Amino acid sequence: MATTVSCLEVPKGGFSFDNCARNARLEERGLTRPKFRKTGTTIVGLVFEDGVILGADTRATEDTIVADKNCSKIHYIAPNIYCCGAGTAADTEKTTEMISSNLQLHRYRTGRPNRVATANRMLKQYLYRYQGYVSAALVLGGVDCNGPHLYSIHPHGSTDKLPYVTMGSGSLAAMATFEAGYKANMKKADAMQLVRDAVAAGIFNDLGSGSNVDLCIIGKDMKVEYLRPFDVANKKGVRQGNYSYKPGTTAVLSKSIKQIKYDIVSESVQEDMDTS
Amino acid sequence: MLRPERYQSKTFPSEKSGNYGVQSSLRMGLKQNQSDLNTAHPLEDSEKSYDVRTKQSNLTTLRNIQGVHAPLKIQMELNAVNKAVTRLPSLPSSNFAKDILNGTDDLILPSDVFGSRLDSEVIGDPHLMMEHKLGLKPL
Repeated sequence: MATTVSCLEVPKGGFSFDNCARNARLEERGLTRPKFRKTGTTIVGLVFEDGVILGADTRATEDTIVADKNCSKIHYIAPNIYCCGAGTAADTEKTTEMISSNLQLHRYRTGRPNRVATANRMLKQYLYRYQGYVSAALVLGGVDCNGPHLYSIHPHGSTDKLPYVTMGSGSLAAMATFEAGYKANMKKADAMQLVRDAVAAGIFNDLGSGSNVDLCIIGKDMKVEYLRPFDVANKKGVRQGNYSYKPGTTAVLSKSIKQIKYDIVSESVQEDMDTS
Repeated sequence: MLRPERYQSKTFPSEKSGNYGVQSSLRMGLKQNQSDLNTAHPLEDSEKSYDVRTKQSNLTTLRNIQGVHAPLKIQMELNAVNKAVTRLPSLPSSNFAKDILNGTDDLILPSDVFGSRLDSEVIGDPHLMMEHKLGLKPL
């Protein structure tokens, strides 16, 4: 028989709010919601002489537990555009994947490399539609025909176009580093060091950020270098000693081998599993 | 793009059938008032009417730019497609013609990613869906 739930119109797709009322009633009766995985994070972006550098830490948390020690927060959007994501991990991943797919279709339609402003506008319109419920804070950077561009996009849909941005729970620590060390038109090596220092400030001073520093450098002629990890700031400790015993430590005093007698009760032949 | 409507808790017309606005107990079970009055989520109303509002907004802009003939032409084509090319509600359909006319044939929308028809947990009875489509009043 068909499922018990039926509909009168073709379901439209998109987010489904069917269970929201049920969840609200369950919460009234004392249910605690399951925790979702966030990237309480430090993500940064910097415009230097030839292009854009994006930096991120690699820790993903589920409330107070580290869910992933080495997750990748710098997402691919287009060959010349990359995006760091903070907030709910699923939201940032799905959002960036969807925009990346749309930009590829756009590339086929126009026959040109995408502009960073296009990616920015698509992301901002998508996030505004959901009024902040899609919790994705993004740092979008890339190089296009007009040069390097860097945007920060907040979950409610507001964007800022700036020479250096930080987002996430470690953003204050990272921004302090940027404010102290930023100069216009930095050289690539200095810029990489500054970004590494900013992310490290977030890693060491914020509980939500940790592990390694990832860098993504989008330079002249839209050339991309994805350095993962760029700096392993927190090495996991190595065991100092070994407590297992060497073979031969225990002396063998005597050996006796006994045959176990058994009767064959029945035989059966098993056919190959049918994968139809 | 489009500004979502401000969330207000309000009563909105129910989808009950029948002359007196009474729910059909045979099909939908005994009456439950409360579930009708509360929207579960602030985005629910906004999402329901999103497609209609975007279409309206785009057609208005088109009218202001190109004159009244432009949206009329588009709507005429959409009406023709709805009558001639669209399948019955319970049949699987790619909506190819409608997608082209709406300009979404080279876009990947949230409705393609989340809650696609293939993953749907609800099933539509062909008879009920046709009655709803034609506005017939069932038992």
